[in-house]
Amino acid sequence: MIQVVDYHKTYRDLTAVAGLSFEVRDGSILGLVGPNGAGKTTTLRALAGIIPPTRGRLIVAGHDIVADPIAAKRQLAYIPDDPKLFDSLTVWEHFEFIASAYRVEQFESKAEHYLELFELAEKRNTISSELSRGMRQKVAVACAYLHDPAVLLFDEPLTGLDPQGIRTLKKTILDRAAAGASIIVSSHLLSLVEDLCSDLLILQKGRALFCGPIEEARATFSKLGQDASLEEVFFRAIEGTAT
Amino acid sequence: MNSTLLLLCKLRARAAWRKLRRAVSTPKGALLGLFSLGFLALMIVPNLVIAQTQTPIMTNLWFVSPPALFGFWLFIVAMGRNTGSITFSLAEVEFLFPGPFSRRQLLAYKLLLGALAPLGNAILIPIFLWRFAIWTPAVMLGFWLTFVFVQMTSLLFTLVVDWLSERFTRWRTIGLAVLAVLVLFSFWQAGVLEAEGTPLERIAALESAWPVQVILAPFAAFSHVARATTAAQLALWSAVALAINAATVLLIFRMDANFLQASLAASQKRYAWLERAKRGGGIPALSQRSNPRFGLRPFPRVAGAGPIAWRQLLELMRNSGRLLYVLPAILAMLAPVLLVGRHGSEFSAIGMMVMVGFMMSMMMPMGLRTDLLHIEVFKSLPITSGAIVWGSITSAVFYPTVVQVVAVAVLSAIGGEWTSASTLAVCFAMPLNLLLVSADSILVLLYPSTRQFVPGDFQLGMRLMFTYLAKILLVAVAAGVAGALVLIVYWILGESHVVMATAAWVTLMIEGALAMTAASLLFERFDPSSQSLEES
Repeated sequence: MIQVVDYHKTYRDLTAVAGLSFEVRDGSILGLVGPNGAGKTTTLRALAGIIPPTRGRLIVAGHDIVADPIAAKRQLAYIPDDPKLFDSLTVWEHFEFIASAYRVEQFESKAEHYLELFELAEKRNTISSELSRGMRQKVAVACAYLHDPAVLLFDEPLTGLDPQGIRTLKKTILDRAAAGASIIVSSHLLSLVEDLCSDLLILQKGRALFCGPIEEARATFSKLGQDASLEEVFFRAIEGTAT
Repeated sequence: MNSTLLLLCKLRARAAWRKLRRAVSTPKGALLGLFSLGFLALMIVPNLVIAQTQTPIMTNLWFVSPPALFGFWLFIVAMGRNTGSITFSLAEVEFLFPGPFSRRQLLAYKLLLGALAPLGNAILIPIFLWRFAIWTPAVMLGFWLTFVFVQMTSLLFTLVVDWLSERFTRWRTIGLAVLAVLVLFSFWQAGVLEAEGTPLERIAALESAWPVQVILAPFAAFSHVARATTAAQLALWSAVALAINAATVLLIFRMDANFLQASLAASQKRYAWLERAKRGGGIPALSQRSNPRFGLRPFPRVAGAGPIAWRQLLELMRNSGRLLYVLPAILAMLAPVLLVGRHGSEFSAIGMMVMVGFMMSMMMPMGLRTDLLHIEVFKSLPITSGAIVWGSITSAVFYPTVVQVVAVAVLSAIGGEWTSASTLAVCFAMPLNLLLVSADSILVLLYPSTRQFVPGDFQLGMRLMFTYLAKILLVAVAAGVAGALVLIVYWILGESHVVMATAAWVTLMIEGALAMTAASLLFERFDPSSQSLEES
């Protein structure tokens, strides 16, 4: 479960997010969309405990990320849009590091499973600086899955992935949600959001234009009702033309 | 030269000026600018005053002698550090290579930039050396012509090696073998290998060997320019130096068939180096491609500090390739001092420890400086800020300490004795490294930057200088406090070396622990968003 209540983030005279409140239930996937600079990454970073909120409460799996950060972080995984792996470490050593950080006992069999799943088995002893962009993304996702987080935060998860990787990632995200995880997927790829997400949060200039089930968004923003594409819903929301 | 490429040069110059103006328009930038100007004034004014009141104190200007200039050239070419003359930025590769420009136009563009780039250094360096110079404008011109020669010859060197490598795969080996034979022959001819004279005298005698004289011949012309005392001498030797540079440029144009391919390869290599430099920060001259041949067993968790320390140490070990070249070079530099006498040996054990400590803290990716780009990952881990900082700094202290101990042991073996200074050097290596890495971590959290240094980035250049000075200042203050305490101990307990050294050691370690705690607090409130804002 993710709960965000009256979240504000300001940088000197710039307001990145203003009074955002939303909730992601266990087992649901929230699509976070909005134009560049809308505050999507700032929201994900605050939920991951990377930046402190200026105001508001952010609850991750029952723990306040500000008041009880360690307990909250044990339950979450954040996959940034451009994961920075440790250059000199091999793929397997990344698993070792994450297993130790999150206290994952007997991680080897799980790690082997993810190596196979993401077609990284041949790269297990390759140092990360020699991996392609897509492979680095796969390693970051596999590391995120290693400790079975209750909350997953994805920022542009498909960047650099090949078709097989995209299919695998989509399936694993759905599987995780089915197993009860609360997931946020931030992306400009509206088709991805349409494929995966049950709920939608549209942000613009740090404010929520809409938050709720996708069907409700269609009903709110489109004359075409349930047949409307998410793209049409998005543009109508941004242009402020709710029907 | 192509008019579009000239326009690009103009636009880039304008951009550099704009960047400078913007940099000093913020309160932080203005403060940094004022500090930098003050620092420059402190460096320059005493030299100018002394130059006005005294005659030059070194008439032979050793720093522009042919061997010194050759040493500089060799260092630049051998270390592959002068890649600016052949490399293009990523934007240049993407816009210019597929653009409507001929190979020669791109080459001319690069050569023009290569000739203009060293102007700033050529003007600035002689100002620092004003008190030693006979005629400063001549030294400036001499430096500029030498820098241009270095740029051009290293480009030519790359093209020739590339051309030969295509045809003769073993050419590099043969070339190196010939060079080794020549060096040995020079040593033999100069009598260096015979057991007469002091080491310094024997090394100086090398200059008279004919192979060395042939190698030094072009550098003699540049040396004459810098040492000119009359306008006639300056005109004559400048003409010779210009002719040498012009001949080099002509040769480059003759070799231009390989230019694009060679520059593309060099650009990619440089980009990879810059990426590593960005992650390492500062001047990571020792940074090179990692080698996963060896590993380390993961450390116990210890509240989360274990995995952080394990990862840091593993990365340090895998990025130490060039240490193998640099440490012997330092040892070689100190060898003559060692061989002179016992007093020199004592000095060099502590000097070596301090020098290696400072060099490694500047050049190796250590502490939180390495992890500026990974702070997002660390902050999202279920590990406290204190454990992250302690884990990161512990490895960064342990590794150089081992290197320093080995270096002191090797020096002592060369010197033939283990002195009390050697013991002191070994004991104080850890507190020194703790202070250096902690101070560096504090500074990187206060002034985070992942921008790469490019010529014209005055703000970043000044910031790097400020960082190094601040680090030295912090360590000096800590050492001062320890020194004061030692004096108190001496006053109370009398001259007991062991007690005094223990007091100093304990004080330095406590200061280091306090600095680590300060770094933990800064890490706790560090906002990676500010770093992203700066990067963009």
